[in-house]
Amino acid sequence: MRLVPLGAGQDVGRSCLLVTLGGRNIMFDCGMHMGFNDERRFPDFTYIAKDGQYTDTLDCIIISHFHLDHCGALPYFTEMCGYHGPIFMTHPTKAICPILLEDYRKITVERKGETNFFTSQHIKDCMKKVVAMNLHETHWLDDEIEIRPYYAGHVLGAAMFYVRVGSESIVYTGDYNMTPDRHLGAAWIDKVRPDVLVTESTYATTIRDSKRARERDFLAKVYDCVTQGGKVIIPVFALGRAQELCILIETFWDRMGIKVPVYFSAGLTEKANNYYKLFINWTNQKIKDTYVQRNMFDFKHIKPWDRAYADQPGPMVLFATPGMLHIGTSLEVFKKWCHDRKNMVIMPGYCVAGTVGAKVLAGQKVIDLDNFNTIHVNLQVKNLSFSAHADAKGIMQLIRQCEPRNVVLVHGEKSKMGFLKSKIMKEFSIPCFDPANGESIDIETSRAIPVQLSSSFFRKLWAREAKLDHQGTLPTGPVQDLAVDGLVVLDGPTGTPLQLTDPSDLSAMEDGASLQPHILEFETSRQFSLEALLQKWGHLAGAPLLSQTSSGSNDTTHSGMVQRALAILSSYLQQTLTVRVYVNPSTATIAADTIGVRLTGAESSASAQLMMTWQYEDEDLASDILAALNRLL
Amino acid sequence: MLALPFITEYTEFAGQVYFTEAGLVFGRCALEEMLAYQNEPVELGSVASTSTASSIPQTTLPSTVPSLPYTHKDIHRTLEKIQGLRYRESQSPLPSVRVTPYSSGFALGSANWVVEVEGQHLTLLSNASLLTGTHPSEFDWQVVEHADALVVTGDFKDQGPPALPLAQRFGQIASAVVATLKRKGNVLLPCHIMGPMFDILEHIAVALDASGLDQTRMYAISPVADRALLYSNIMGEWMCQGKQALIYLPEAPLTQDELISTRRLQYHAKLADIELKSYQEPCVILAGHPSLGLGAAPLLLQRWGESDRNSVIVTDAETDVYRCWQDMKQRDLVTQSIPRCQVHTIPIDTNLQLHDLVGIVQTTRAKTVVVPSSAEPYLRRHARLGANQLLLTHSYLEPVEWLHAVPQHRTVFLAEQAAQTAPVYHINGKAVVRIQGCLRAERDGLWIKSPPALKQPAAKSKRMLCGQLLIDRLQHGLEKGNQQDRDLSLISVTHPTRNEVVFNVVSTNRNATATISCRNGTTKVVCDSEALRRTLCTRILDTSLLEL
Repeated sequence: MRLVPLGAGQDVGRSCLLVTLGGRNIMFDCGMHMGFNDERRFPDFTYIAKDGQYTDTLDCIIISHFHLDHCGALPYFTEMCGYHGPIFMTHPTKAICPILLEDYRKITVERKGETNFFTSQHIKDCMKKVVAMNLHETHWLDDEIEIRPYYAGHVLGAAMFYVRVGSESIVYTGDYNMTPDRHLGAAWIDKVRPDVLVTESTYATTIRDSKRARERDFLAKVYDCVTQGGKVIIPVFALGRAQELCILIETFWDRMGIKVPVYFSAGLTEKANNYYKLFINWTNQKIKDTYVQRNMFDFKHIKPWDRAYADQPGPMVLFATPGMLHIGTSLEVFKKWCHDRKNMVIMPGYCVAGTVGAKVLAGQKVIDLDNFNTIHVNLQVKNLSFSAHADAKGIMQLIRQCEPRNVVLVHGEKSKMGFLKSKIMKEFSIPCFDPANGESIDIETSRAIPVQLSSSFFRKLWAREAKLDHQGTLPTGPVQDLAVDGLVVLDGPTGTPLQLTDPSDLSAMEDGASLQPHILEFETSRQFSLEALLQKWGHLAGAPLLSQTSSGSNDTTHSGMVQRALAILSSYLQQTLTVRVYVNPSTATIAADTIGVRLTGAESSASAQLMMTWQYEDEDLASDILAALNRLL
Repeated sequence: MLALPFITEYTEFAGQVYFTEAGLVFGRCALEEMLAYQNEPVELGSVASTSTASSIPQTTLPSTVPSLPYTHKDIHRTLEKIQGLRYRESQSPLPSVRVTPYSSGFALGSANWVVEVEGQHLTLLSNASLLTGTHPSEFDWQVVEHADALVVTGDFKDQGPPALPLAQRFGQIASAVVATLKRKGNVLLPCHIMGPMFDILEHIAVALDASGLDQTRMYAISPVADRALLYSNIMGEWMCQGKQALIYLPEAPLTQDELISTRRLQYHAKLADIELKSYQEPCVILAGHPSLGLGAAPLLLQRWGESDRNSVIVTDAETDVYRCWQDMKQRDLVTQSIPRCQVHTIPIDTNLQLHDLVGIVQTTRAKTVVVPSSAEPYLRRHARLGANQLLLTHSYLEPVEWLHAVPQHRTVFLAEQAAQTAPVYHINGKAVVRIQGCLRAERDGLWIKSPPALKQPAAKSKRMLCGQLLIDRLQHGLEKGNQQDRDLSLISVTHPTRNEVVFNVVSTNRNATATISCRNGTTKVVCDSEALRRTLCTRILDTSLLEL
């Protein structure tokens, strides 16, 4: 299996991973980079096909969730680069990602005045190609590629994807969260044992304290600030963290009876909340259960923002977009409020290097917005890690859950990845990789060879197993460790699948005569004295048979002696051999595996005969039995 | 699903139960609704008054529905045992068995099931709908196309030519509602507040808007009306393409969401819960039970039935308004001998019809098709069955048996490790690999793997012989003077039958004799001396046989 990150290799942003498995090519995510404004913002697609014939090379694209660093380059790739193969994502992702794309397009084209960018129509056309999927639904692309999404937490509709082609399989996590929050559940996956798990590693080295403590901390900070008359600005993205924090503030305001106004900027809000209402099945159980009584996304305390409010006196709380303070309302209001020590900014998410948000977080007091504008930051800066990524513990937990044979780290910082990598290799003793962008890694998967097994042979294997169990009927349970012994003839006509053949069927094959199984049987007899045997080895006859014969050990009738002799032979053989020994008193036969030893022709007690037959395939066992009999007689 | 709580709580059944997640929501509603109706029978006052009911002896209508042998608690316990699935999500109750639900187009969450055993696809088709223009997601034809055996259940009647198209029947209902409201009459729709009712609501709402009656109040009366109405709107993914497109906008997929938010549609558990100040006639009331025997519907029939301005619209073909009226008349609950209100019977049955079945049977590649005996004559007349297709019937409590066509071959994955350790032989210029290992079912199919390390000593590989014994060469080797072992001498060669050769051999030094009989593919050596036997064995193998 070959993997090449076209983005998010030892980096965060423009997630894009190219995977070749089972001879097919699949692209996971197609994101953009927030930190760049030039061609570096998109993955380098020329890697896929120099001639631009992407559709011929790629079998499908799978998008994990609606964040732009995972889907931002999709319209560019499908409409401007000309890929028109299938695209898969979950229903909420399909619903929300065009909104964010449009938002992104507007900022880039209308505010920054860029040209040669994708248009609204491009976004619409692109979304028409998307196949929406349900969680756990198994989708078969042309009978060979199996795709199945699993719940990933993180944001509404985020999914991890399990993909299998033939015997090779992969799990791509996208971004995920292993701890449930106010509005989403925790990521979960079956024990799918993929060959490769590709996991994000944003918080590779962080172990976060409990969610509850962070929530308390957040509310306490907001509360302190507003009770002292300060204004709180919380930069967020319109969808995702925003809803979680709104629920938090809403319930806190309710409980404490606080009257301080709370606002949400962005015209998106109403719409965003509507998505959450319609896709309540993708949130968590608690919200679903209480839905009939109260829709958690109908907020009572949180009102729409108006520009004029920014200059009004008095405390207030504002959720403003976007989350990294790089543009838009959040930056505009931040510029107005940042001079006053009473005010506060709470950064609940991750900020890409270079953005104002990142500079604020780094503690810079003087920030250059551009060549002409500088702001002085005086307000209180708080950082609360509310982004819904798995922390180191969560990543380890996921690895434990799905038991991959290899782990590949993407979507993280290089130095942190190294630490996690060594931890994974140490704890799970499995190979772990952290490829850079454009660096391809080849992972040895246990290659499997598909062979055809005929039904008759399959039934025969069942029957053989059943016989070994000494049961009359064929077992109906699952196939568990049936012993297989068959032949595969290579160099058959090219193009025909390999056949695993029952050796006895080989003669029917063309040119199979030389492979026709041959049965070589042996029969050997041995005279011996019953009396001598009983005298010498009588102590062995205490074994099971005595209880079956009415006569006991003193029985001197001929049949009694025969039975005792059988008992001696069988118990001795049982002691010597590794296989189970059975006795059939009525036919005076002892059976060891497939070999039969029969006591015959003993008309007088002085001389009896042991006759043994076997086939060459049991030669080893036969030698053991013969040796044992030699010692006895 | 009505029998399920009984099966899981009062029988020995302890197996896994699967249902779709959406189906579970409405299944719960349906069960709880029936139980609520049963536990709180309708109490009908007599003719004159509903307000002074206490002064008059109260009676209940005899129920046409058999009482349910379980309690509310049982329902909860049952539902906890059910595993919810989504369409096309597979589960394995046993490692070799896989079950998968596919959309059946009948209602939100209704499913046809595919059971996969040993690569065989058995499709179970029950309530399903091929109709378009209803809200549930479309019928998934994959269950029909990829089936090896197809079992159809349900009750089929040869009703002759198909009735009016569904859209027209919805239209009829809507216009009956509009006509009634225009003459200031009330409309009673006895129904469950789920399934096709969501479509009917939509058609009514559109018709009311078009006729300027958009201020008309509608009431949905059922103990589960709130959940059924609200939950359905968060199930956009379970709906048809058109409705799905709405949730991407984002807009509520079903009209009832808007009707509720504008208070045009109100829902209550009981008729008595309607607040007086918000109640306004003329109005439309949707109330259970469709049979008019349970719930609030009979009370409304009694209240409204004697005015010719009102209407009752029945969508269940089985419900007979006149018989219900007679019933009430006999108990002096009503004065007139027949209802004076308008009675419309507009059956809405989206279930599979016989002609749908013909299409399904002709589309499937299933070798075996099992249908209810009621459907057989029609199918035999109208469906062209494939040459190797077998049509079987089933009827109540009758087991169906058929030989399921086993595929000729199945693909098995040979694990790399097992392949690497396998010995390779070169025979007649061909490479032959002897594969020994364990066959086991894994998640992704059947695998042959090396036997587990533990079993290694016991599973000592057995020798295998192949090839043809060349009699001439053997005879040559046994003849005296042509061998190193001069002690061995061939006494006689006989041919008891055409295909059989028997050699008699003696070894003077060992004082032993042996007989070798050769037949097609079998050689038998009878010899009492172990030393001689071994010598002969080597000779035979050297001559022509190949040991793998």
